[in-house]
Amino acid sequence: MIEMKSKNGRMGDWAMFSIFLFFVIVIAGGIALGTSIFFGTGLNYGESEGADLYNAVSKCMEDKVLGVEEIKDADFYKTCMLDKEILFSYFTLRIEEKSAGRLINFGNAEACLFDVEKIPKNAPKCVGGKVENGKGEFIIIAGSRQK
Amino acid sequence: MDTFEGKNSKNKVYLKINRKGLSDIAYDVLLGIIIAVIFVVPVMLHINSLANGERLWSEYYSGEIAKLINNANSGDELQIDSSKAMEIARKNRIESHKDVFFFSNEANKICVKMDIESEPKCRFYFKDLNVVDVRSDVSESGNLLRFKIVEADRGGVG
Repeated sequence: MIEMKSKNGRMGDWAMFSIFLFFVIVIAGGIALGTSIFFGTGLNYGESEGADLYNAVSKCMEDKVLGVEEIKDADFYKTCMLDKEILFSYFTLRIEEKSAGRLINFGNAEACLFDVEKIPKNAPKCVGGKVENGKGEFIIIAGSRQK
Repeated sequence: MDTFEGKNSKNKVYLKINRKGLSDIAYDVLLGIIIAVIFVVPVMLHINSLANGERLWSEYYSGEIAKLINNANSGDELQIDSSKAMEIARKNRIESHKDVFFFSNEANKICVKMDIESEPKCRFYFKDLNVVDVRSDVSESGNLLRFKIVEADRGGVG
């Protein structure tokens, strides 16, 4: 004698329900994906913000003739009008003194895969360049980690 | 199970009302509607937000205002054409610029929201400056959002 596990025949209902749920998820996901592709995924301000940070820091270093010691000093943020907390949380900045090879990192500096000569395509949010002032030659790379 | 006699008394027809069966169908239909609503409502809100450009324009305004502040100096008075933001906001029953543009001097943050139901789009600016005297002026060309930039005093709100 075959033992019937689903005595009231509800197994089929639950199987159909699973299929219904699957199709609802697929259709809803498809509509959301389709409209997102059609209307675009949004704007990217990362690179522009990286460029703004680079310009602000390089201009400050040139105008105020800042060297590594001054940059390491707590007054650096006030001198260059930078918000320390925001810089570390949402931006990234690396300053390298070329002659001595001394590095100063702000935020997650490794995010840019720093190579000023060839910034990789997969790190478009980083902007780099050289700055010369009375204290030496510096390589500055700045980026934004805001999405 | 309830039975009752039909009108044709010759051939007694018994209608069987299966109350459990009826409730099963109602339960299935109700469950189907609830699930459909759970999926359909967020999708419709998502499409609506994309279609009226609210999300894209919120990103645009927050990004542009953060950029303005990042390039500003203390004492500057800045303005941005906010006509499009106010046009979308009015469609979504928001009338005042104070409910569209939110500046936080404590967090160095600008948030823009053009729909009551949507999440605001925020961007942080790295310049340690405060935004004060935020106002909206109507000119011939449209709405202008104006604000002043002052040195940060760590606590003031514009």
